[in-house]
Amino acid sequence: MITSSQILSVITFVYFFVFLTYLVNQLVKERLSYIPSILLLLTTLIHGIGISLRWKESYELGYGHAPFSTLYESLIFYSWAISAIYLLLEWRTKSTSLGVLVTPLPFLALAYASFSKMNKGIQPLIPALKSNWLIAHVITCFVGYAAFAISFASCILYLLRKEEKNRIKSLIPSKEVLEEINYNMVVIGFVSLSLGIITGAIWANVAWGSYWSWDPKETWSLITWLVYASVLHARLTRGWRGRKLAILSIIGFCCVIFTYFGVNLLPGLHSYATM
Amino acid sequence: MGYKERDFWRFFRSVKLTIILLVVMAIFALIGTLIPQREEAARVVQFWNPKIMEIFFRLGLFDLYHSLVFRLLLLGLAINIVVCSLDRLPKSIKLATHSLGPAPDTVFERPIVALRAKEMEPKVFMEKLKKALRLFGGKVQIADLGNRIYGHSEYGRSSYFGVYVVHLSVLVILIGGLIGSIWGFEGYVNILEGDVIDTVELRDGKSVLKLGYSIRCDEFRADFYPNGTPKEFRSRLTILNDGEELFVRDVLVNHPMEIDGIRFYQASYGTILYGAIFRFLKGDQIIGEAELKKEMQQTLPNGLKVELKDLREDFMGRLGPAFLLRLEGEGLDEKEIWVFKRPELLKMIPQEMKASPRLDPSTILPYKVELKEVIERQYTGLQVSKDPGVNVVWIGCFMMILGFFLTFFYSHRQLWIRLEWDKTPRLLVAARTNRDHAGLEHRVSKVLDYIRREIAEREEI
Repeated sequence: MITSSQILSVITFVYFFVFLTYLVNQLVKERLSYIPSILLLLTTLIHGIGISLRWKESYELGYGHAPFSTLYESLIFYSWAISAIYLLLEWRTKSTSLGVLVTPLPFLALAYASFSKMNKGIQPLIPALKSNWLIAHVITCFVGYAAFAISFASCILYLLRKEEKNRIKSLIPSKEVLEEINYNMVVIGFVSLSLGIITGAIWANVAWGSYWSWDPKETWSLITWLVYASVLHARLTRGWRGRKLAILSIIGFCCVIFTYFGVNLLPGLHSYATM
Repeated sequence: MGYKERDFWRFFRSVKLTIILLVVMAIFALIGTLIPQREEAARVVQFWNPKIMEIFFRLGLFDLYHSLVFRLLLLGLAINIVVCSLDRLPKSIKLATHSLGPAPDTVFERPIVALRAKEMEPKVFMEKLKKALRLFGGKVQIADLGNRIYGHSEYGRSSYFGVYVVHLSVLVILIGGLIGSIWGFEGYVNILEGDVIDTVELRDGKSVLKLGYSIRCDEFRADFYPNGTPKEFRSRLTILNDGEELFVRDVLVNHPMEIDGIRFYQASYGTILYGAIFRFLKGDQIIGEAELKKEMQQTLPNGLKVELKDLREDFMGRLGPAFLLRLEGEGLDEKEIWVFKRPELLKMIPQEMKASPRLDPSTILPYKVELKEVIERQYTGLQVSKDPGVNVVWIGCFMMILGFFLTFFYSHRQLWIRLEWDKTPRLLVAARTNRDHAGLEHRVSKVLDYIRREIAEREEI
């Protein structure tokens, strides 16, 4: 019988392989057509099965909770959300060139989850996490983070695209398309993050006695929210589109990363996310 | 509008100001996560250089989120939001109420497609036209001008107002927060198992809240998983009014109790040193045992009077639990002596302190004291809070999500179909949207599929 941890450790390398097919596809001027996309779709499906299996296994252990309670589990879900949202984007835009920059993200997240010393076992839920809000809060937050990751990839590509003569870059979507992708991803991320903060506030009001207590993770999610709010407003201002907006979006993603990992260096109420 | 008002208006209606305010607030919040705040600050600053601490304190850096500067930033953002909204609202109202009339020929100057229509009964055509318009999914209108028939379907006029709903929601959330900070409070109370409380000390440290009823902690239980991880913290509380039991509630983490708008949360637990059982000897002869709590006296059978005068959880911060006993009896003047749970730790105290008579067991000879059992009692720590602004905040949050939907995922879309007879029946289709052109195309393509199948014969250029 296959276990979830077997699936998840194998899938790490599969993501790297998918990344290579995207890379090769760019080098041979997309002669591989949709093969990388189909591979990514299959990988994401198996990844999803891995997550569901872990959920089922937690019931067999008698704990019975969604696999969203530890740093390891959040990384597993985060990498899944990135590739799932990216697939939707690919389906909408019919363009595969962003895949070279996006597919390394789930690979890196899974590799970090697999090779670091963090606890990978299925843990029982501590009292603070025993709430129906756990699933809504984690899913909305990480869907937001995932959309921001793709926004980050599109901004990097936007900044790289400057020199027009480079052969590899000739297949890259136009700057306008990249700006459009970035905007759409920021919108999805922003709405999801807002829902994440709101569900978090509702939960905190039940668990911690106050909907807002300036816990470092709360504060950093607010910082992220403020930066992306300014991205959305900057888009309406002349002279702020293009390069500046791409840089502001990249700063936004740095805030996401700090909200996710960096905050663990600071003391606070969210400490279970470090385990 | 006077000169000054105009300047004020111009300053606050700028989107650049919004961006600057948002970024400055983000930086401000960031600094707050690097400098310890409030309780955290109180705990940490004792290790700091007092001069630096003084400067930080004066600048309000230990309570940034409640500082005047931060409140001014919020106020600035609020004014910015109000002014921007008032400035742009008339234009949005105009856009949302603007109508091209039942038969607008201007929109057909650049149609999406021109098609040759099939010959069919006018009645049948009307039915199919209606069906095509309904497929677009909006309010359907048809105008028959004899030689020309116009069909129109539109929806999403409210999308012009999404952005105002979002901005209003930010104001509502800020107002909710303000209400909470004025009329709300936060407090903390520890209740020993079996004890009753009727007041709560508030977080500001100055005031005490009288509840008007009393709460008894019947039991506190902490359950753990086999691996030692906490599983459940549960306090069983009885609410009493003038000694009469009203009801019993279990308070758990994630399951607070609410009474008259005041909520009680399971926040912590612990044990306190409550007393001890001592055994007294004279020479090698046991003369009796006494179970004492603080300030309790007892007289032993041979007339020795013992009293527990004081007790410490951790004597000098490292010597463990300790009890100060006062003894008086036959052959012994009044003496005080510290009794330790772990006497072996006494080796750690400095030489000069050992000389203290209260630490020297030989001063009470011929009597001796042994500590038989330490009595501890468990308490539950409840956080108590009231926030009358919380529902306002939830309304704001709901508005924000609704506003996001209207702003980002909804748009004002219109579809026009015109049928005209010159020599042959000709069909023109046009569409407009205020945003998300890809979404409009997707929607229109569904209608076009139907039209090509049911109404049109072939493309016309």
